[in-house]
Amino acid sequence: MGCCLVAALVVSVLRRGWHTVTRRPPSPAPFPPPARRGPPGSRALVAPATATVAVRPILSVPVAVAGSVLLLAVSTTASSWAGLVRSPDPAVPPLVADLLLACLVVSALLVAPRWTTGSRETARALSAAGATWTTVVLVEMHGLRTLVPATTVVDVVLHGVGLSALYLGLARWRPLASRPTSGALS
Amino acid sequence: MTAIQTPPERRSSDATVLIPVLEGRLFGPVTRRRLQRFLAIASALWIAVLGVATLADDDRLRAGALGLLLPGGGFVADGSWVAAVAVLAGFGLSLVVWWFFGATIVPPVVLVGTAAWAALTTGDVTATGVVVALATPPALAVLGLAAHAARHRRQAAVGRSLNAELAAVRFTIAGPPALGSTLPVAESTAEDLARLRFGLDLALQPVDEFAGFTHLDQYREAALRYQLNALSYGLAMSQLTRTPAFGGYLAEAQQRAIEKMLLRKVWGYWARENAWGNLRWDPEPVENEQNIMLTGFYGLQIAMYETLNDDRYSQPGALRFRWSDATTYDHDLGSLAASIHRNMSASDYTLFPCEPNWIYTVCNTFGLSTLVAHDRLHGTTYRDDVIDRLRAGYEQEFVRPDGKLLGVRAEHVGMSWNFWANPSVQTTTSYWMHAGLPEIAHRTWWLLKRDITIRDGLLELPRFATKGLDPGSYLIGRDTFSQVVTMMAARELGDEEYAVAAQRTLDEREPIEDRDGVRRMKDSSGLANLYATLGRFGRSAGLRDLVAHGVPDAWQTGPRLAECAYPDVLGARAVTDGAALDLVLRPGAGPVRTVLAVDRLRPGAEYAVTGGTESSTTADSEGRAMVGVELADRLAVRLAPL
Repeated sequence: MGCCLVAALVVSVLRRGWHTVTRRPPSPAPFPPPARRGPPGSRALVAPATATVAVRPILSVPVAVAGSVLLLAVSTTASSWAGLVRSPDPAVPPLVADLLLACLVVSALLVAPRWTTGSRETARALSAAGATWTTVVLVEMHGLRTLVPATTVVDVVLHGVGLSALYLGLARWRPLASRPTSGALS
Repeated sequence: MTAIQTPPERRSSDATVLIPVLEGRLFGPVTRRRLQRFLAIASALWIAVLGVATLADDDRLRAGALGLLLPGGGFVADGSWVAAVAVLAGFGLSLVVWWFFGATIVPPVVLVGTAAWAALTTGDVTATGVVVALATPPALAVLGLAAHAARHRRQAAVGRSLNAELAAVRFTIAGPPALGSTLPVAESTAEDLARLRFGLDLALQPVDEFAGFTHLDQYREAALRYQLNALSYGLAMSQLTRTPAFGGYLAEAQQRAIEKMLLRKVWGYWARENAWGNLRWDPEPVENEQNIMLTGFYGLQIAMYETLNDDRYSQPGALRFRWSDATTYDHDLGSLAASIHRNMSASDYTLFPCEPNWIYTVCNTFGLSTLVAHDRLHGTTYRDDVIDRLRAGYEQEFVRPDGKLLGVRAEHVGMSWNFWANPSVQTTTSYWMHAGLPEIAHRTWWLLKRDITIRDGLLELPRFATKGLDPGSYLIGRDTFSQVVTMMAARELGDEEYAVAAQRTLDEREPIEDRDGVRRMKDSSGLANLYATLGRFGRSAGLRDLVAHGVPDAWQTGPRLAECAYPDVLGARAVTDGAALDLVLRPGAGPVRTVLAVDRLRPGAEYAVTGGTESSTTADSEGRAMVGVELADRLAVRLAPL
């Protein structure tokens, strides 16, 4: 407590910026559930455990996948036509590469529900790693072009690894976030 | 308004405490050695890069080498100024990440990565670019040292002037209560109890549930562990100053706060910090060389509980940190204290880090308090082993020449931020330091209160960067938290006038949210509310008593209110002289006819009851008896042996 108030100040500025941009004020923590204890000799009364609710399917992940793959397809096709980027393999239209990429990402998403181990932390780490990898590969392949010889296969695999990891992480993260807490210990 | 408590008769002492102005020295001895080592390594790197930059033919190699010396140096060398600025900004961000999360690995990775990037993409390296990249680091070092020297001289002059005043000031160092004396026990008002109920409701939910807590991150001030620490400290302080003869749900709430700390979601952050800070995969939260932000804070939390209640958490393996079904780390108060003692003994600074590399002054006061309390409870000599070195560590390495405490220092490179000595650091540190290093705590508070004014009974704090910050939510705009910690420090250090003004400021100004008699400050975080409870229930040397002096024997053996209904029965006062029990109760959920369980009576003895539905009661063979009460408003109940 109070050991790093300057760090907290920096976070506060970022938080304030976020709430300003999103126009959503920070929501305060709710009151804790009212506790109850019976008189001596009676059975202890505790706040009821959180009711079990079904995990709602999260639509944002498939929507994000479809949207980003579509955006990628349109932008790469348009950029290719405009001569702004070079297709890794002139014999293969960018749209084919995008379809291959979409297949890879969708395959990863199909795996996600069967994946039962790992924590929310793992999901977050996967999302962060996927986003980082995607960014690095985009910069490297389309900006620097120093490390990897570009071909359609390399293009699809390198982009697909990052996006697959990102969406796998998101797919695991969001349902976990809405998972109800377990019952009371006492 | 909270009842002001009369300080007990004490075996106190007086002390004059001057500021240690380092004459002729810019740094403390350990800091100087660390800086010398860092500068030697940096100089060796600079010479090596100079060699490469002047002798190598390959521009890629030259750019890469310059990128290792100065973030963005490789881009400076070929005149790519936009890229250089971007890399510099990225490196600055990596330092922030290092600082926030103890991720020591991030700045080197960014430095090496951007140097490699520069090497792979560089154009023609120019002579001007090489000179700029080579000259910048030593120029910055010289400028930084010159600025520090100038600041040091100014602060030393202030320190000498203050010392002239301090020479005439005698601080009263609170000793233990005089023989035959006891500690004061006040009565909570209805408002006090309504505020306390916020903490009770938080703590009394099932151990694995955290409704009502703030969930933002597990690294910084809003982490769950700090909320649990504050929750437990406030409950313990209320027990010390109002209801020392009440176990029941008040003790249970503290137990739950302690047991919530054992959940992986609370302490699991350490596995990650250890991995990216020390490059070591070992989630063990106690047997390591750092993490005083857990061992110190948690140790104090448990020591407070044990002082007032029982020693269940000192039993071997009583604290089971469960990482997975297969892996647990079993500890107890003793192993927490032993870890702190070992790490303080092994550290050149004596103070040791929270996150990898970062030593915080306030966190080490919690560690010291754990040692002091453990010595008192279990007869160890941890405090005596380290106190001289620790005091020297604070005075020589973490106090500026003008007497202000520095909040942090980097363990390996010795650097600190001179600006990081604002009133937030001074206030919190002076409060928590009072248990183990009261002289420095008094001097720090004395310096601090010179800038605080009381106007029309309200407290006005000086302007400083973090004044309006609520660290429990990372929101800025209200100085509530600053008022809260000022109230805590002023009350603990005996300046009740300032404490009353702070509390009045909070009471008159802060919007209150009420739910069925549970009250909290509406626009403040849970952490701020919980520390407000600690301040509200504090008293002069309350923390020092709880940590260093303990409680009278009669409180540990005399009759106690062991069980009652919640929130039907709220304990406003509960105290024993070893034979009788005095209670003041208030209803929390309307008028009620209920039963109280009292224990630690003499088995088979008959007791007169006043204030109950019966005029007498008899203890059973275990020293336990039931007392019926009709509770409609404030009710005084007394049990005395016949």
